[in-house]
Parts: sequence; structure tokens; C-alpha cells
Amino acid sequence: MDIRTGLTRREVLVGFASGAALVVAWPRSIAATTIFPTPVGSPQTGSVTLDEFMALSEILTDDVAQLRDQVGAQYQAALDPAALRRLVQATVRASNPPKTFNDVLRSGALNDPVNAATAQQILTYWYTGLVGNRTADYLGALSWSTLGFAEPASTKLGFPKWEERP
Amino acid sequence: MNRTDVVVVGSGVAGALVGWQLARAGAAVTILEAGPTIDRDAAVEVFRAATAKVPESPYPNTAWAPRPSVLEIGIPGTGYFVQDGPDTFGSTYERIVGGTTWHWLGSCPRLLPSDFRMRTQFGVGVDWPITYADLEPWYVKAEHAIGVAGDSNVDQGSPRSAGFPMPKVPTSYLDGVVDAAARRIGLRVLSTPQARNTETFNDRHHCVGNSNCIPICPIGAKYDALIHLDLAVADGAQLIPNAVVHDILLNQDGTASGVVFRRPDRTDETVLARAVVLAANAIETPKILLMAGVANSSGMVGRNLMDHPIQLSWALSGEPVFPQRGPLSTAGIESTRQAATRNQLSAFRIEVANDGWRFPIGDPTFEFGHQANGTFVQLREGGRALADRWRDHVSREIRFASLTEQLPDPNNRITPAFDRLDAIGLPRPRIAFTVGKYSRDGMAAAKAMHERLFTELAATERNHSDIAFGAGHLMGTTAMGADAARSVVDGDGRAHDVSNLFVVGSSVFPTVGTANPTLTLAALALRTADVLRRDLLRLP
Repeated sequence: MDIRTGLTRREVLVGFASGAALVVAWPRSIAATTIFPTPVGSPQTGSVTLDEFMALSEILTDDVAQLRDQVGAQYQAALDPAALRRLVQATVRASNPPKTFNDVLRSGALNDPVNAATAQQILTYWYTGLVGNRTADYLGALSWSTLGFAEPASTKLGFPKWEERP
Repeated sequence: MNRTDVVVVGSGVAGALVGWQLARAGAAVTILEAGPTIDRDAAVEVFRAATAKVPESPYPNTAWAPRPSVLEIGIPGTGYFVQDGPDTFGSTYERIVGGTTWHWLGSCPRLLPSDFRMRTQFGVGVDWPITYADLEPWYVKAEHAIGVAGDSNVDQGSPRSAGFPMPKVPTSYLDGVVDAAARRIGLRVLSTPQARNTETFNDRHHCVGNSNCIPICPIGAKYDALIHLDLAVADGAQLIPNAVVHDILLNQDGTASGVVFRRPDRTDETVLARAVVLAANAIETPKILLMAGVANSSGMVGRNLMDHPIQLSWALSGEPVFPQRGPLSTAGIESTRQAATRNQLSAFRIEVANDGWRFPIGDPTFEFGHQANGTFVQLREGGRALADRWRDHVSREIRFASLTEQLPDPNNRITPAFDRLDAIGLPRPRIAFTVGKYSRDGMAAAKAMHERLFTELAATERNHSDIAFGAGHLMGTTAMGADAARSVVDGDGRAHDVSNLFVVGSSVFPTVGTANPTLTLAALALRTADVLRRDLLRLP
């Protein structure tokens, strides 16, 4: 989710795909500095952009936690470009893009075993924070942030919250 | 050349306490540490970046002070130890300023009175040359020195002459669930005494539940030896890091005159001293003595290496217990330490863990990606349903670790591997080790008890390790005893063969009971420091 607008990247991209001129509703300063792509000339069949990867990630995770571009770029770089493009074509670039993971399932995009494996790998990256043989993001890994009852190890929970049922 | 009253070899808790006590008494003290100093904030970042959050992950493994790591300890031919088997010695330590107190858990139970009299009461092991009553006042001093939080009103089998200096660490919600299950089979889960602040103590903040005692407390709420190193230095002690001691110098009359240490550039330096204190743990201390050929007329230096071999079990509780919160363990089952069957098999102490499956499997980030079939997420699974399934799984993770007692066995030994040198030309530790039937039988009994607890907890996915995990408790190897022919030091920690050479640390334990060793070794170190303080009045 973009903390400046309250909009998820998925909502923005979906808005573009459906022709809604969301950008005009934004404050000029934000529109001028946005990192999101403009809809005009969007590479609908070319290489996957970071925005598209992040939008895909938000869909696959159902926005259960905030995802950071800097981290996502590392995961995207570790994926097979052709496999990623195939999954993006079937989801973010679809004429009626899915909004949730269940939408993706219903669309049949994951009936393709390559797409299913790619989605599984993307989710594993976001949950573990690990890519290759290194840590991309420990404190923001979804295996911590989705718990709700605990904080990442090495960060403060508060004394003596462990005593209570959360 | 450096000249001092007392040279202390090792800067872990034992060396720090002795250095602090003697410097405070006005002695000139030099503390030598093989490894480097550590910046806490930087080490926390190293931990966060590590892919495997093992106990050693925040700390350097230097060329001049290499150390074992759990990542390589079971892989033949790798790592710092030269393991001759037949079993793997599974415990590790740090070689850095502050020693292994950087990554210890902080549990501080006392030994039981019977632990000092195993031969007399149970016909196994040996008796200590001192009794629980001899050590009890020093337990009190140690609890106040390092700051132990505990419940003064609960009898855990070790009589107390004074209360704890801080209120107990609150037990976890998880402890309460396990206690309810344990009570149904006649057991109790009790708050563990811990060197962890529950209020401001010694100018240190109280615990705020960073849930990371192992491998590093980010705020220093858990005791570490830096506290007493700083106090010692403030009282005039000199602390020299990156100084690897490899020889002990003797006078013609057989007394010690100092030590020789090696710098990372392989140059040697000497520290002359009126007394020498070895505080380098139960692997490095005997290695130094054996390299130097000192204090070993008994032939017992390096022998009787002991650990607390762990029976590790983990499962999913039938109801959520919400682990991964607070200190990694806040309670345990203590009554099993006093089993009447200690003449036949080891007693055990059940540690109840708050850290989910970190010990057997790994940190949640690691666990998610390292399942039997690859990753936690299934094909065609995702979204909120995945998050809910993961949350439910982790919320029910439960783990027990039972520490068993290992009996002294002279064949379990550490010797310098002169054929396997490290980067500065010093021998690595060669270890021969067998867990032994006494401890294995205790592990089997612990496993059965874990299984009963799992049943009471309606637990699923029950796992019991077949491997005897190391507890990180290095003990024996320079055992104290009244008989100079069968032990290395006397009841004060003084070497039988060298009157001004002292050994502190858990290497002096003749037997090990089932209590985590740090509080006991701290009490013994304070006691030895008091003897040495009086010795300095008459030593040349």
C-alpha cells in the first residue's frame, strides 16, 4: 500500500488497466513524483516492471502486510524472467486483472504448473525474506509480520506482554 | 613485557568476575582475551542479515581465535574442533571479549545439594570436595553480582539463605498452558531464575521482550561479562583483546611466573604475574595447560569432558500458546532433577521454551522455507488463507529441551591437535567423546515425559530428536578434588601442582548435575577470587 495515497499498487494498476484516470485525483506533487508508471505506453508484453511485480505480489499475498519496493526488486531479479512474465501476463496484465489471490485461482492462471510454481516461489521469498544465500529483509519478512501476536526477534515486544494471551 | 599482579586468561563471566574482584581490591590485573571486542549494535545488524540465526551468527570467527559453530559441528572434517568421536561433541562457544555470555540464555538455577555428593548418595560419579552449604553464600553473592531475577518464595530444591535481588521474570502465557497440562500428571512448571533484569539493575535497563536472548540481547538487559569487565577496567584493570595465550611460564620452584600470548600477526608477548588465573572455558583452558605441560601430574587435564546432553522434542499444541514472545525460556520443570533413580540413569531438567521451533528447526523465516517438501506454502496456496494457516501453525509451536547429567568419563577428553594447527600455528582442540549410557537412559526417560506432556496438550506433529544435542555447557576437564592424584585443582580452584595457578569456570566441576552451569561457575569464581585476594597479601 502506498502510504501517501492509501491506494495499493494493485488498485493503481488495475485502475490504469480499466481506464480510470486515478492519477488526476492525486495531489500534483505526488503525481509529479510518483514511481508508478503512466498507463500510456505501458509495456503490456515486454519485460516485467517492478511496479507490475509489486502489484502481483500484493495480489498473491492479499495485502496482508506492507511490501517494500527495494526488497521486491531483489526477489524479482532472482526469478526466471520468462516465467515471471508468463504469470504477469495471466494476472496483472489480464484484461480483467484479479484483485485477490482467490481471484487468481478462479481465473485459472495457476492451472499452469509454471505459473503455480512461480507464485509459490514469490510467496516463499516474501515470507522468508531470504533470496539465494542471503537475507533481503529480516524485519519485514511476512513470516513475522503475518503472525500478529509477535514481533521479529531482536525487536521490542514490551514488558511483560509475553505473560498475556494476545 | 608486561608485569602485573594477576593475569587472567579469558574474559567470559568467570574471568570478568575474578578480574573485577581483584582490581576492586587494589591488585594490578591484566585480562587477556583471545578474540576481538564486539560492538553490540553492529552485531545485531549482522544477526539480522544472517541467513541462519544460530548462536554464533552475530559474532566473528577470526583467523587467530577460531571457534566452533553449530552449522559445521556435526559435519566431519569441518570446523574448529577435530572430532575423534565416536559421538559428536555438540556444544560451541565464543572467543570474543565477554565470551559466551554474549549468546547464553541467561538461566540461573542452582545445583541441588545432592549434586555435590553423587558418589555418596547414588554410587555414581564422584563427590565434590566442597558441599552445597560451602557454596551457598557464594551463590547469594553471585546472584547479586550478575543480577538474577527469581521467585524467592518457591522451593526449587536448593535451600536459600537470601532472596533474589530482583523480582522474577514473568512467566509466559505458554508456560501457563504447559503448567495446566503438567499439573494433570503431577508436575509443576516453575519460574526459572534468570540473569535478566526485571527492573533497572546495575544501571542496566529491564528486559523489554526482544525475544532474542540467544544469540544477542539488543539492549543488554540480560547479563553479560562486559558489565564486570567495564567495572574491572574502571578499577584499573588492563584488558587486552586479540591475545591468544599458549604457554604458562614457571619459576624454578614450580610456581607460575606468567603467560605468553600470540598476536594475530604471530608475534609473541609475555605477561609476568604473581598469580595466574585460567578462565578460558573447559576446552581452551585444558588446551593451554596441555600445550604448556603444566599442572598435569595427575594426568587428568583435559579428561572428563562433560555436557548436558539434551533430549529435544517439539510439537504443535492442541490450542494456541503464542510463542516467539519474551525471553526464550521463562520456566521449566524442576522436580525431575531429583529423581530417586539417579543411581541408574540421569535425572533431567525440562526447559519449557518460548521460542517455538527455533532450536530444532530455525527462526520462523528459516522454518517457512525449509520444510520436508520444500516450503510451507503449497502450490496454488496464497493470500489471506496462507497467512492464517501460517499464523495458526506458529501459534501452536511448542518445544521442550531436557538437560541430562553426563557422568565423568576419563576417556571423554580434549587434547591439543598438534597435527592440526590454526592460522597462527596453534593446535586446534581434538575431542574424543561418548554421551554414555547413563545420560542416554536419562534422555529416554525425558522423551517419555515429553510424550506424556504432549498428550496432555493434545499435541500433534510430535517430534523427538534421536540426536543428543549439546547444551552449550562445557564442563569437567580440570576437575576439582581433594585427591591430587585424581584431580587437577583443589576445592578453591588452586592447581594441585602450582600454588599460584588458579582455574575458574565450569572446567572445575567434578560432576555437573542438571542445572545450567553459569551461576555455579560464577559462585565458584567469586570464591576463588576471595582466596586469591588473600593470597596476594603473602605472594612474592
